Amino acid sequence: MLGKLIRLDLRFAYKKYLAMAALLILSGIFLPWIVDLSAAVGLMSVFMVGFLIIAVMSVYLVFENFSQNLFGAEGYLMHTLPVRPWQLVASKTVTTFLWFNLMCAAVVLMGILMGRGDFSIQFGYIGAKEWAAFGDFLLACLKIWVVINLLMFVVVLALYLGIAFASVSLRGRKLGRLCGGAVSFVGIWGVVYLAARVAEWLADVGMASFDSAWWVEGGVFALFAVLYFLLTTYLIGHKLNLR
Amino acid sequence: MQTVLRIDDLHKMYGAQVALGGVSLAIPEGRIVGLLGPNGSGKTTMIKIICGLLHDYEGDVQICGYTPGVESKRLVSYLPDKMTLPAWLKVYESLGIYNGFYEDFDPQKARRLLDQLEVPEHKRIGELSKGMQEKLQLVLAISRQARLYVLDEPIAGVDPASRDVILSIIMDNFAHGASILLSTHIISDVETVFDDVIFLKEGRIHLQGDAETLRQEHGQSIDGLFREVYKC
Repeated sequence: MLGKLIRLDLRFAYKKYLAMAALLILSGIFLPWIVDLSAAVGLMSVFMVGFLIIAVMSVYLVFENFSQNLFGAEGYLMHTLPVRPWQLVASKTVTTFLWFNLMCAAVVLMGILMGRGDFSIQFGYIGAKEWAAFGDFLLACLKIWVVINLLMFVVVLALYLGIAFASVSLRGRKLGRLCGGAVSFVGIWGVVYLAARVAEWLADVGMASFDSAWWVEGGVFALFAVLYFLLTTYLIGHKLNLR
Repeated sequence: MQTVLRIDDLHKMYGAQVALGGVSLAIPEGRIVGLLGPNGSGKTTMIKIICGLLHDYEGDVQICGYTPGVESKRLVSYLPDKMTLPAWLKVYESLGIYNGFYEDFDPQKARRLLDQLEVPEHKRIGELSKGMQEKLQLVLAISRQARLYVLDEPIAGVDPASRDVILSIIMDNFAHGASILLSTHIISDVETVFDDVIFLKEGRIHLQGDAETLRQEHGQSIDGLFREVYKC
């Protein structure tokens, strides 16, 4: 059933996300002909702005997709399907993971396309040293990707928790939204605060580099992601009050 | 005769407001039960609880021995009183969703009924009129071989001329041996199909029983009885 739910959730949102990805890639192709952003503000700034746009759009789409699909009119369909609450939340989480990574890939591609004039590829002999350096680079990228995704999971699941809290446990809409927003804010802020404290502690114990500390911070994010997932599932399973 | 739905001392509050205040009832298999009451009497709240859309209640609800959850949702076919399918979905795709999630869904029957009701399969749901959307939802609900059909205001949005068609579709196509719980406040057009009726008033059962017995006891139709019970 989880597989079927994931396929259904992908169908619910694929047009919006694919349109956004296409827009980003097309911007990467055509924008340098209009204005050379990478030369004007630097490639890093392009990446930063791109990721910021993705973050804002993703939060909006996550909010819209989760709240409308589970707590709006479509919720009458979703909650009468013979599936368990955890499967509903897991399906949304998995599809958000897929869309988020698609959008990140689109931003990277957009940046590469924008800065295509700055790159030069020199083909020639690649020795063992170069391969080893390339392997280290890929490993570092993989670690960063894991940490970013774990952070994304925490943020998304804190939003889910806030939406579920706002929608299921309180009758007053405005008060519910306020409480739900507060739950999401505290959920995200709490993890960020804890991660900062963990980073300080890691520096104190001599594990200051990302290479040696990534798994500790990643573990904190994963722990809170699981906690938020369980709380959201509990609220939907035991306190659902579909309007 | 097996009991399809059993409710014991069901209470539901919305804040300080009582939505259901101690409802108890039992529906045996093969019965068509009218759940009658004006707006705000608790009909939709009770239906939502039966269908697993409200969890925060007190009391006991059993559908073929299961409390509302995954197992009961396999046995209950629900027709909501609002459009729950996304507007961008095409009609035939909605059949695919039901076919994928409900093992008892009969797509051939659904196509036949869509054809009978002249609902175009290749149109998007958002392009259909309100009446057509309601017909589509009815087709989806009735094309399941469920044990209990919960139909929330199935004739509220259709024109009087179509009501007989809708009713005959329901009567001719629900699964053999199943029960129907039909909520409505338009009594005159549907009262002939009811085996039993339940009158809800302010979250409590005001009157319930066999429809024919009630007609004879009170010397009037169920519609007349409804008007008498709920007159201001």
